[in-house]
Amino acid sequence: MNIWQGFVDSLIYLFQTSGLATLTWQNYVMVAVACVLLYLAIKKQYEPLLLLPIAFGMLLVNLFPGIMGAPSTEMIPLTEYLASHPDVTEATIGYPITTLEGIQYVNYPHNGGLFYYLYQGVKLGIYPPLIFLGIGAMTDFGPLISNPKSFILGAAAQVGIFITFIGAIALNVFFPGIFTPAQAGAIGIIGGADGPTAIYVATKLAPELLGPIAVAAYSYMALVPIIQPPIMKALTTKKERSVVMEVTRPVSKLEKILFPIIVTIVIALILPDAAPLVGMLMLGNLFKESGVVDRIFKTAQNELMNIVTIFLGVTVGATATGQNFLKVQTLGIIALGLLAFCMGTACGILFGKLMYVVTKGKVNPLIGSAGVSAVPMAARVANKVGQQENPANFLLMHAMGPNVAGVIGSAVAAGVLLSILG
Amino acid sequence: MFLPILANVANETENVWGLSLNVLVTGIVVVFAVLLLLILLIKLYSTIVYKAQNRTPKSPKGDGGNVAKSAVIDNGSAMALTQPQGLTDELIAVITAAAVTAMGTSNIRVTGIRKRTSRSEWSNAGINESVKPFRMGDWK
Repeated sequence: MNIWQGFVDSLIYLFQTSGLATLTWQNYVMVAVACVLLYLAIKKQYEPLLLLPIAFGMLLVNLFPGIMGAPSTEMIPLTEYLASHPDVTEATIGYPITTLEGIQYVNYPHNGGLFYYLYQGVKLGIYPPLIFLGIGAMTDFGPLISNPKSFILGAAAQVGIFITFIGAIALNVFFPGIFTPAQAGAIGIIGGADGPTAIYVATKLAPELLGPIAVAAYSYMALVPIIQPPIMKALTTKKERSVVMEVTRPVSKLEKILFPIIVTIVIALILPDAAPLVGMLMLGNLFKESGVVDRIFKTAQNELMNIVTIFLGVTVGATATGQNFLKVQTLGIIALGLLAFCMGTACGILFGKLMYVVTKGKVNPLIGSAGVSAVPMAARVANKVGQQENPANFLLMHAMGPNVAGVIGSAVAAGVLLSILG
Repeated sequence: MFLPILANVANETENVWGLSLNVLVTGIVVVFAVLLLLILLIKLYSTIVYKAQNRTPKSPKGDGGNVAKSAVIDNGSAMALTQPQGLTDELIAVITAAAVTAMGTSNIRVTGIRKRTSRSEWSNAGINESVKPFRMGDWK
């Protein structure tokens, strides 16, 4: 009879500690959202390298919230502890003892969940600069160096960040207290279309909004081929889209080596807050262009990048618990993120049109849309839309200039936000 | 009783909007200023590097570099332009433009274009290296 009772008690205990008894409806909604994101990553291949780990992190944390749990300390009465550990004495206990109201307690530590420790790389701002190191090692800044005017388009596309910031503040008129200025800054940076930058800024300015901001940023980056073309076509004429640009000049190795050094010096001096991101981006690029550190160049762009991408993806996804994610704020972030993307694209194209006029028709305004970063997707979209008007027009190399300028521009914009709002 | 509260709310609102406009103006101005500064610096050092690198071969050889380069093109004369097997005017123009761009001078004359039956491993490696930065899927 005792065995039967023990069996039943065990089953009850297992049920009480299982997800079936502890999860809320918000967790189940997030499990469904995670499954949709997994479908988009696997079947539609929307940014699968990040969307897949993010979605799986989201799935895991909503089924087993303890995986993100912080370490804790349990206070066990000393007598109870010694009774359950007969070979331990008060002298050899090994844990701190606290006395409360005459009773001694052992401070027994419990470790945190796996993702809690991996998340420290996000929380402490370590992973995004490491991702930038890998991106720098993969990036060819040649198109930007051969046509430095592309920097203007990279800057113009960042205007969307600041307009969205104002938009987020303005939402307070209708929903008082919905976003603080720091939170508005973290939301605005979604317009930079740069995942690591968005995460870096969110961890500094609004860590509580990291999950929705990261999911919105990567979702919109995946949707660049759908979001940008209608804006590009609405703001340009057929004649402008058909412009064939002049071939850019070849760039020497020495110019490519000097570029990361000069950019680092200038940006670290003027905007120290942007130095971790830009500095690592340029270090990765110097690995590539110097040609003397082939081993670490390959490690930066492959093994390190892949490892950090896994850790970043799953832990960012794990911040999107049902209780944190399913709020009115999240809807606001998703709407404002879309606004930021559209404004960034529009501002880039409008500056492209300005350059079209100033250069008397030598610049195709479509390349301005690539200034929103999202490398190299945005440049490919500019090329594709240009080829719809003129199949013999190859804008890819011209669009890569504003595209990589956008990476630097969004890091500079992040530095400004951090220095004012941080 | 309500007046001080309303005044406080008005002050806070004014502060928030002041901060927002500050961020807007500072952000746009600083981003453009930093990137414009980078444009100037890149143009400056590009000019210096270009001049420094073009000065070296000039002194002993004069325009010899271009002569040698055109010889390389001339060497590939297995298929003469007078035998347009699959060669269209557009293709010749594209190949000529590519050669002019790669050499950085218009002082060359393409006298022959040779069709390779298969590409060497070195050519494959060169093409792979050139298109690698633009491949899909392995960026952020």
